[in-house]
Order: sequence, then C-alpha cells, then structure tokens
Amino acid sequence: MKIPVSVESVAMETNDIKRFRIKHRFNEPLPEIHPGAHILTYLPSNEGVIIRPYSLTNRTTDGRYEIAIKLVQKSRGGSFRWHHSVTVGTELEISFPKNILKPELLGRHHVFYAAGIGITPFLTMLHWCKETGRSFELHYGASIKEECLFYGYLKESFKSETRFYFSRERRKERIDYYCSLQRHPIGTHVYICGPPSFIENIINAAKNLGYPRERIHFEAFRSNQIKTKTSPFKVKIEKKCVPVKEDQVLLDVLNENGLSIPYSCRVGQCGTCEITVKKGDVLHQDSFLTEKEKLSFMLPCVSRGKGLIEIDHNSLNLI
Amino acid sequence: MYSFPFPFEEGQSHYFYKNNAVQMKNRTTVQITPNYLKEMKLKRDTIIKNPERCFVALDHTYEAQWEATLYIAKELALRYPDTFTMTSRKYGFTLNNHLLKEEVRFDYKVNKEPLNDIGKHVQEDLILMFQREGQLFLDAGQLCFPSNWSLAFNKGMAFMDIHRPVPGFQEGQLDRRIERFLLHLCPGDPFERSNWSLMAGETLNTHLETFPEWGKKRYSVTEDTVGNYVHVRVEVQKLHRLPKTYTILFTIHTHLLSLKELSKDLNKANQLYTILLSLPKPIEEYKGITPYKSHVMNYLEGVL
Amino acid sequence: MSWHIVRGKQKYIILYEDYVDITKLVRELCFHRSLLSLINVGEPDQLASILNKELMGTYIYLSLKVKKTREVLSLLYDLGFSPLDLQVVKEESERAIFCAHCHTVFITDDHPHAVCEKCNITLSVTNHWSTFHHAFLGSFEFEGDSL
Repeated sequence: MKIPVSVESVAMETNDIKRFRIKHRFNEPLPEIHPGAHILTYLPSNEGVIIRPYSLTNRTTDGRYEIAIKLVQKSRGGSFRWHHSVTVGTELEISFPKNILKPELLGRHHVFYAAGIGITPFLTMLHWCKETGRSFELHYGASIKEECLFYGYLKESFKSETRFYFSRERRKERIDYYCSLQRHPIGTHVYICGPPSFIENIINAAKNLGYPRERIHFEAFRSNQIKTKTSPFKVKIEKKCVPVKEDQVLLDVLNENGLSIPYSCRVGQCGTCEITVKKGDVLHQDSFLTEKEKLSFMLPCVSRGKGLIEIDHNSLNLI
Repeated sequence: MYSFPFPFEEGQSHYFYKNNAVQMKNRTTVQITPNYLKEMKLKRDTIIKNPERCFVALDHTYEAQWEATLYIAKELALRYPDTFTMTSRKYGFTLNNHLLKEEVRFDYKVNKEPLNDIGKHVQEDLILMFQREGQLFLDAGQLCFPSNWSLAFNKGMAFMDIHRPVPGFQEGQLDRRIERFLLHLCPGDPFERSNWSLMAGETLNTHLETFPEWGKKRYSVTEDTVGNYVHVRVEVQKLHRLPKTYTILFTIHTHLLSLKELSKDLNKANQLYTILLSLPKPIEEYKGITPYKSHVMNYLEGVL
Repeated sequence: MSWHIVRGKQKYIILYEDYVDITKLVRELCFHRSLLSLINVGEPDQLASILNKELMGTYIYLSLKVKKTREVLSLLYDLGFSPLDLQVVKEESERAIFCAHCHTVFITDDHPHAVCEKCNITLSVTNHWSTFHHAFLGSFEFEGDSL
C-alpha cells in the first residue's frame, strides 16, 4: 500500500546532505513509526519512478516524516534527483514505514555504533531509549565536525550518552571497537550502521568476544546502487521468457509482468521478496539467505541471473 | 452478508500441510457476524468465570496492548459506523457500542488491560506476538474460543516452542519458514490464513483446561446425531504488524457450521469427504476426529 | 546430568548448590582456557550483585536442583539476562510440571504420570516444554485419547 505525500520543507543539513519534511497529501497524520524505521520513496521522473529506501530521522508530533539524503558522488538516480529537482510541493508516494533495525524491547543496555550517514536510523532509536528511560550509549564516527550529521542535535539531546570520533580533525580519533565492546554489561544489544567494512569489523570483534549473534544488529548502507557491473539476462516464468536489461532490477521486471511479489527493503536484507529458482545460475547479492538456501532461493531485489534462469511460479504467494 | 468461510481451496482434493497465508485484500482485523450478541455473552461469561484462562499479559506489553486497542477500535468505527462510534480524546477515546448499547471509556494507563477490554467488543481472540532476540513470543493475549490449547501455558513462549506438538510442523522446516515469514511481516501489509478441524458439539470455548468436560463428547456421536452434532470448525486468522510497537497482532475468528448445514452444498460435502479420506493419521488424531470419523464418513456418503 | 558446551566465550560461570556434582562439567570447561568461576548459590541478594557486574562474553551454567533453578532463573531474567546468556544443566531425576487444569507448577520425579499438588488431577506428562514456566505441560488423559 502506498501513501500519497508531498514535500513540506527542505533544509541543507551539511554541505552534501539535505533534510526533507514530508506530509500526507490530504493532511492526515502519517502512520506512527517504530524506532529505526525506514520508508521507500517512489519519486516520479522522466525515466520512470525512482524507488529508494531512506531511514526516517523523525516523525513530528503532527504526523510528518523527516528524511536526510546525502548526495552520492556520481549518482544518476536517487540522491541526485532528490537534491536537484525536489522542492517544496513536490508530490510523490511512500511506502508504509518498516524496520530492519529494531530496538530490543527487553535489552538491558543498548549501544549504537554509527559512521557517517549511518546515524540516520539511530536517531529515532536514541530518542526512544531516552524517552522510555533505557540505558544506552552512542559511538559516532565522522571525518570532521562540519561533515557530522546532526552534530548539534546529538550534542544537545544525548550529551552524556554520545561520544564523537573525528578521523580528520586535528586530534584524530577512531572508534576502538574491541576495547569498547569489551566493557558492555551482560545482556547488552549492539546496533551498527555504516559502510560495509565498518559493520564487518565491529561484528567480527563482537563475535570474537563471545557476543551471541542475536545481540548484534546491523543495517547496511542503503546506497542501493549495485556496485559490480551488471549484465543483462533472461528469466523464464511459466512459459514466458522475459529479458532483464543491465539497468533493470529483476524484482521490478517480474512485477511489471503481472506477478505480485511482495517486497520490503530492496537491499537484500529482509527476505520478503524471496522466490524459488528452478533452473539456472544465480548471482546472489543479498545478505539474508544462508549458503544452503541459496541453492534453491533468491532475492530478486538485488540478485540477478546469468544467461537464463527459470523461477517457480507456484512458489509465489505461498510462504 | 455473512457466509461461512469454507476453508478449502477450489479444486483441492487432498490434505496438504503448508503455510497457506495470503496477502489480505481488505486489511481488516475483525468481523461482526450475525452471532455477535450470542458470542459476546459467551465470551464475557467465560472471562468472568475463569479470567486466568482467558487473558495473559507480561509487564512489557502495555504499549502494544494500547496500540492494538486503538487499531481495532478505529477499524470498528470506520467499517461499522452504524454499530460503533469512537470519540477520541488526548489520552484515550470513548467507544459507543450500539449493538450492546454500551458506552466505554478507554484511557491510556488507566485501563490496565486494554487488550482485554477491547476484546470484550469483538468476536475474535486477540494474540500479541513480540519479537525478541530473533524469535517471536506470545507475551499477551485474550483467548476465549481456543481449539484445545492453554493460553496460560503458552504465555511467554516462543512461536517455535508453542507449535512443537503440531504433527508435520517441523517437516521440510515448515516451522522455520513460517517463523521467518512472520518475522518479516510488515506494517500495512497484513496476511490471513485459515485453519480447520471437526468438532463434536457446538462449543466455542474449548480451553485445554476443561478438556475432560467437552472432550468426552467425541465419544457420544452416533449415527443419528452426527449431522447436527458434528461441526466444521474454521479459524480465520489475520496477521497484522502494528507500526508503532512492531508487535504482531494475530486475530482468530472461530466459525462453526454443522455437517448437516454444510451438506446442503453437495460440492462442499464432497470436497470435505475427499479431504478427510486423505487426512494423515497423526493429523486426524491431533484434530481429535478419530473417535467419530467413521460416523462422519458414513454420513457424508449417505448425503452424496 | 547433561549440557552442551557453548564455545568462544571470555568467561564461564557455574552456579551450583551443595549436593550437586559439577566435577565433570568443571573438567570439560577447563579445556577451554577461558576464565572459569564457580559460585555456590547461597543468598539470592548477594548473587544478584555479583552477576550484575558481569560483562558481555560471559556465559552461565546453572547446575542446581529444579526448585533453585526456577528461583535463580527468574532472578537472572529480572536482571536483564536472557536465555542466550545461560544454560540449565539438565537434571533427569526430577521435573517441573505445569498443570493443564489449574496452572500450578510442581516438582515431581521422572515418571510419565503425575498428580497435581493443588487440584489432585492425574496428568500425563507431555514433552511440551515451556522455557518461560521452566516446566513441562501436564495434560489430560481421556480413555486412551491423550493429548
């Protein structure tokens, strides 16, 4: 289900980050959100609708959503479009809010590790922790103060819980994950958001220290640009053979061809769009399926085929 | 118009075990049927008599209970405007139930068990599932019309543990797949499924706690009484992810229809007959059909 | 008694009480070159203040009689520990049973049938286990039609 919205205000947060406030087109309050939620934005353009996921940095008391978008260098689609052609009054559609990161309701202590724009999903979670009197701390790494998103806000709202690390200020500092992870009380949950290497390093350190994997929560950066060079391929559904061009996403192609595969994150993390593969080689790009599951399933939001693949039409809509 | 939710898919001719949840088109949680008044009385009587069997809630469930309460009340007022009116206040609302001629106040933190309170206005059982450390737990619920299970025992239990006794549930990792599906359920995108069984008698409140009272009816079915006495029991189950607390609201509406009524439609009688023929023995026993199955089969053969 | 070794932790703690033999478990855990600490569970208050200071990477084994196990578990859960942080060493000689009729949890020896302490109903002990109640479901028997 999509919600019709329009842009209510636009503000420059840092040099390359813009903040947008979005309201329901008929002024109804937008749905309440769970801390850590994101939305998919459906932005119309000349080249068709551009679909991008963004974390909600806030839901105002009068039911508006706020998102922060960093202009990605060399971006052709999402962030470029948002930065250059979205103004007050621009109309678009959004999805219902949903979560990959969720705060652990009964967690004894919550620790957030953020790098750069990875802070965005944490803002609502930090707010929730503070508001409900939970024990928490934030470790936030950025290059310099001026590039540090929400610096002022964090310093003001979560002063005693936040520690900043600036890697390119005069006094260079980086998060010492190992040292930090070593001193959290039993029952702690950690949340990580940032570039892949950042996430990987912290996960590895935590695992080495004996953290159960259920206590480690993370969300990959949502650049949503498939990094490797992609090639066209074909997909067979029932008796129909459909081409998927190099710049097309398999999920979209399948849905344009009359299937209604549900999806959510579009970054290969939530598993909602999982389909069964009958034949062919799959180039898996997700972070959801186990190695064993990859033998028979794929997530068409990120993964692609090689040559020709055939998917099981009967497996759709079943679980 | 109310019609009995016949549980089998078109053309289905044998029993199979799979997750049959489908995306819900009308996105509802509850349904008012012609039995409303009768069932509300039974529900409330059951709660008064044995509250500990009908409602459980762990301490951390209040916010979710409140969210579910608002969610259901809003739906009632929106879908049944002639029957329910809702007046919002800053920290609560008033629900006018015109069928029961009641005006009920709901106030945040004043109502200690909001889920139990709103449940007294709907025919459904209401279960809340909480996601903790990668699993789903039944931490709150109102259950008056269970199909032979105990809410008190299942309180605080994980989804996988709750369903462990269901035969065939672990096969092909069905349990894991269903759990994973539930974990990925999204707000605004509800699903529904149905579950069926046969039962001797017309009792909705078949709690495990009272099994000796109603279970013996399975042995009192005769050739003469089977048509009126044995009922097809269908649970329409709806699954919603609540956006604010991210709790799963699981509603169960139980419908009963006697074999005799069902057999007025010969196609349906025929389908039930074929499916019963293919029913694996462990499932048949789990559903409690074994003691009177032969009577049912004979009856359906007679009809057909 | 049975347990499984959870590897890769910084520290292991065994909570035990008198008359429970933990030598085999101790011997097995010693192989892992992690810290090992043995705590005789005396007064619960004291126990809470000790365990409260433990850090992530610590793993707790409870080698206690069923009654004490239930007490200590609820204390640990109140402190914010979860089943991920601990393991109950299985004691096969006695079991906790949840009465399907009156919800009483009582401790009995290992036998397929049990009589509820409170409502006197004879229950058939199922293998349906609740981590929350830390007990097996004791259910009804009806003319051989057990649940």
